[in-house]
Amino acid sequence: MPAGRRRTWEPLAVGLGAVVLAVAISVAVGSRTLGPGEVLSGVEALLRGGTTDPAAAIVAARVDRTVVGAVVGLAVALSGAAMQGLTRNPLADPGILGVNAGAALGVVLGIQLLGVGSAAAFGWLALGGGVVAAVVVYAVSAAAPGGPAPLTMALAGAALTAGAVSVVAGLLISDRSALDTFRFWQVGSVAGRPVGLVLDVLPLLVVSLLVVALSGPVLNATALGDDLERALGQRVHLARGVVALGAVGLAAGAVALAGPVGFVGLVVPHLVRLVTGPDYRRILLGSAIVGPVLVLLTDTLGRIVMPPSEIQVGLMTAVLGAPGLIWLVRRTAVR
Amino acid sequence: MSVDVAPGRVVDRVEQVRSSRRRAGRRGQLVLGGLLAAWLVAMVVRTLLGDFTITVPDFWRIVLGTGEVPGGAEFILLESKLPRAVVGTLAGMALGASGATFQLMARNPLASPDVLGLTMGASAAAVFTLVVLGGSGAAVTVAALVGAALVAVALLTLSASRPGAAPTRMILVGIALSAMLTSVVHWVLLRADVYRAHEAMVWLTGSLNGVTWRQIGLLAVVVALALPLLLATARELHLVELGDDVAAGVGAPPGLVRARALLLVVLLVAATTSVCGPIAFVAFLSGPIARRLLGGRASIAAAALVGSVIVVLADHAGAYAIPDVNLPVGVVTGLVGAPFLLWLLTRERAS
Repeated sequence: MPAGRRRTWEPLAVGLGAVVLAVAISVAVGSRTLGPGEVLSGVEALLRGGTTDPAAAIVAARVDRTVVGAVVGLAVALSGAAMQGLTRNPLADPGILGVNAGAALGVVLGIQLLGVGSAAAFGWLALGGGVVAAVVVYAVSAAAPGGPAPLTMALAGAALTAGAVSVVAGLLISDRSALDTFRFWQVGSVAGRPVGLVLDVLPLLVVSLLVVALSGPVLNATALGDDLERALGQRVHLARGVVALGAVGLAAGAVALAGPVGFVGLVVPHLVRLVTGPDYRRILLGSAIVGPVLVLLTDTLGRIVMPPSEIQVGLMTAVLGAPGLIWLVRRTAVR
Repeated sequence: MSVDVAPGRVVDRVEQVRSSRRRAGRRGQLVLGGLLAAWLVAMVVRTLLGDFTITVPDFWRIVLGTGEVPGGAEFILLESKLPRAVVGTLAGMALGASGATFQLMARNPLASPDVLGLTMGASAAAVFTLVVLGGSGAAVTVAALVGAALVAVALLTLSASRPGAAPTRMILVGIALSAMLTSVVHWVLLRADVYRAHEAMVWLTGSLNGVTWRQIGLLAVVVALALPLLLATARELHLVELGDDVAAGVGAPPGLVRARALLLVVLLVAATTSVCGPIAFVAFLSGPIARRLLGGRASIAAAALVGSVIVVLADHAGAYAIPDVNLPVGVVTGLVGAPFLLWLLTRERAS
């Protein structure tokens, strides 16, 4: 079927091209924009191990944040897609469902009460907090009259976020230096995060990524509804639980890496769905491509929109993504 | 459906309705009286008890200025305890009444000014004015007013509905606007120096600490003007709740009533937020609690009293519940309010 194949391959090729372009832009553009020649000579100097070249220093810093940005974009976009599929809720997103807030609370509790200081542990703390948040939000919405409707889930997520903010404020309010650190940490940012941090969170991210990447059939079955799904013989609850854990793991890894980056997980799957249609295997693949592109481009935009200072990527995604949520709410007849 | 009943039984029914209304009225008075007493108790607890106990005779001596009281009691009472109790009362009344009004208009307990992002709009504008523009005092209040009003307008236009209709869409738009405004606040905090940022972060949790008598005077004027008007509007809102046609028929044009209520709520929320920051969930909590106390009837006045009791007691708990830890009132109401909202979601239909 040549037509069908073309429909698959053309967007995929365009998407991969966009990834390459976004990476190039992210390395080249910033408060001091480098020309293609400078980028190449900088990369070459880096590979040779030289750091005397000023362009090489800039390239080195930008390569780091590009890697972190791409990983975060991949993780949150896939997490959002899986959450939307699992909950059959078009408004699901790690930020809206309170998972980001739970993950952040987990890290703060670990630092303040347990005295944890290693970045590798942050990922697991974030996972613990995120899982608790996801379970609470889902349990509350499932217990609500009328079942887990999008509005109920969004409200439960908002309540959980507000409660987490209160706990964090209560823990940090008397500690000026902790509060000073936290005001930077509560904003999602890919700048100044060394690539080594990615390695610390890598085990969590890789396992979660594998689970979510293979979850297409489960999500497709979920989309059909509980009855049909059972009739088709899918082991519903176990499979869904594992996928949910994977989705939370991706979100938690991203929070440990960069802090909360909201709305990417909400918007990306919807954009992808416009091209791929409802098949979750394609939505996941598309989200894995569009997520990094979106985060890298947003981060780059944040560098040049208000020179000489930067606007962190987490702030940019919220300001650009919230209109996306409003658009979704107006477009779909959300109950 | 036609109702066929014998004449004698009609009298019975009338008597039944009359007595049940009388009972509800009596219950209403009882609840209002009880809430007033609860508020008095809260005030006494807040002003006299705590780490530093002040006796009743000393209290009058200090307030009336009829005698010297040793040991710094005068300073602690007049500069800390009394202003916090008074501003807590005013803030609680304003937030409680505002929340209950919105909930009545939307016929939805979840549509309160804090859930809808009005409070966040006031906060973002106030913090921006404070930190970036370097304003203070009246400028911050005006900014908060503008911020809350802009959010209200955005809510109405973006959810394409009049106040009171389509609460689902409006709540979701409110959540989106809140997220956006939160990132504005975070951005402002990043630009501030350490001390300004710390000050702003304490304020953002909702705190009665360090409120001056001048600010209290300002808030008192706003509450004294707006609250009676809101209570008067509430009578018409109850009519609007019966249906737009009924309301229009008895001379309460629904659009006008809703617009007036919205304006008063924006004013109260903005004034309160500009003085003590966004105190989490008080606007949301007060209405449902008052409704439960009244056996299902909505009352703005009762909600206002519930709000003041909550804020004054939460402030006391935050200050003294954990030794050596001084929590802002907003942390306490946030810790209580979040589980309550989650619980309410399991009990009532959100849409």
